Amino acid sequence: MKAIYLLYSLPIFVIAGLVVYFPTARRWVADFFTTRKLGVAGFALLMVGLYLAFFVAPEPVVGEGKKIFSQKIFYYHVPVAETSLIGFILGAVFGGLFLVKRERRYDFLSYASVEVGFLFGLLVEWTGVIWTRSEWGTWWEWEPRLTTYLILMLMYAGYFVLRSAMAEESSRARFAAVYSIIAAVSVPLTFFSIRLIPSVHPIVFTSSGAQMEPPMLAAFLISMFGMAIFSLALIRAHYSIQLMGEEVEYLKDRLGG
Amino acid sequence: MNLSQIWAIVKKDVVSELRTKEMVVSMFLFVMLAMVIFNYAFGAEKNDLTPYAGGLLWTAFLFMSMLGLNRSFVHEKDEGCLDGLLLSPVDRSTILLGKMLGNLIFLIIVQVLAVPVFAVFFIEVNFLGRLGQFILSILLSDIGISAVGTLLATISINSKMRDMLLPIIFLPVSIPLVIAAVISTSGALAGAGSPDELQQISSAMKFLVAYDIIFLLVAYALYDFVVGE
Amino acid sequence: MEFREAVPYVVSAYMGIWLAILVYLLVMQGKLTALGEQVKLLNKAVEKKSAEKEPETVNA
Repeated sequence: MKAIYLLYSLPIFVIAGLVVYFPTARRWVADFFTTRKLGVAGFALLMVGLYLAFFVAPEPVVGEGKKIFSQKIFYYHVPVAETSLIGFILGAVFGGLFLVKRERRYDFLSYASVEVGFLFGLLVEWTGVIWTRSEWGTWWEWEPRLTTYLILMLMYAGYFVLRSAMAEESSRARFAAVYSIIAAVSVPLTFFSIRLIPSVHPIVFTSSGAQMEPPMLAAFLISMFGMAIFSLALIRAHYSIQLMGEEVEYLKDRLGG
Repeated sequence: MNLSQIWAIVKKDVVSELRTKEMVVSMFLFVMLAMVIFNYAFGAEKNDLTPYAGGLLWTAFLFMSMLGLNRSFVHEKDEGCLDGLLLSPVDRSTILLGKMLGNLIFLIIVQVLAVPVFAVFFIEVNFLGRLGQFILSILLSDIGISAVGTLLATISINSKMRDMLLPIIFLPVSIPLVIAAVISTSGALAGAGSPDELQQISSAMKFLVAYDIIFLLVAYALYDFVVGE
Repeated sequence: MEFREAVPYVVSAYMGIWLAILVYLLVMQGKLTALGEQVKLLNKAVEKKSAEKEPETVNA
């Protein structure tokens, strides 16, 4: 079932790869999908997702007709989680591009992606903690998925410490790129290693299960796309800030020299 | 890559260590002190700590390994030895493998000294029958620690924070390794009770092998970018 | 958990997400305006400097 989803998403990766490879296509895409457009589109999709989640999708029923309203948290919890993973993967991809091409903008993009991924990771923890509190009655449960995210957050917090600990610009970019790749490799490893320990809690809702009805699935998918597009807007905004910072540095250099 | 070149780098580390003996001695003392602290922290006089022995062992070993990793690069950096290595006509990957093997050797030396003491202190079952499994799980974990650790220690030593940075970036990356190491080591110490546990231990061992291979490859691929420039 | 009890949790989860995003956007906006102003000032200064320099080169 999951392999099929992966197969479906393959064309997206192929197109993305081609776009990155050809400079004209890259420029065209960058000019067309401006930060504003991406942000507005993402926001609109998220609002549609919100509407579907609260007014169309039914509440899941457990046991003897017991409805679980707090399940609504999952309509944003899962998209936020996937978006943060996208941010980490993009961070590693741009990090690798930086190491190969040595262009400063890839470092900027990598930094922006990791930072947005980190922000969304914090939101995963937030929603996850609220879910455990509402359903299991405790603020923190060593539940595999939440624990995985805790470890990822600690790992990517190290990324920011690493960046600020480097004295020179060039070595900062280089080491940050290397660490973003190491951390991204470590993401699936963390995921699997946590699952070596049998979990205490039964999984009430699977994010991709047979118990999902079509309206629920629609709400999920729309929020997922909306969150991903919105995060791209955030990444672009962060990137443009760094470009501007570079311009300031350049102007200062001209003034000094 | 050249075996004699790798060996030369390892030998250099071992010879300088044999002269001072400061690294192995301080690492061993660290583990001993950790054991004493564990005794009081977890009330080992009253309780049988055998089920938690794997966890205690790896807590001590992980922090001890960080001590060694830092030390091995502080030397290189302070005395300009790393620059010398970089100037010499060897591949960057050779330097990585040499440093990695050096770190692995020191780790193993300390563990050979510390594990018998640990067994006497904390383990109340006879695990000699599972000694092979125990040694294998420790060795597999050591390889992972020295691969990741050498890579990250090279990064941290080049930063302003120097050895302060290593724990922050090394510990989270090594958490998967520690989880698998604790499961397999505890399994080897306490013995597997049920088929489920046996299954868990074997998958932890497989995970260790996968982790080692993945991070050896990652370190091999990235070391060019990490070291010097 | 009853519907009534679950409402605050659901609301706080969603509010938390949007608040965090809003704060992040505001922080970025602040940085952007600050940098934009700096760029403007620096551009002016650079122009001024090059305007001062030019006559010298002409005289020489």
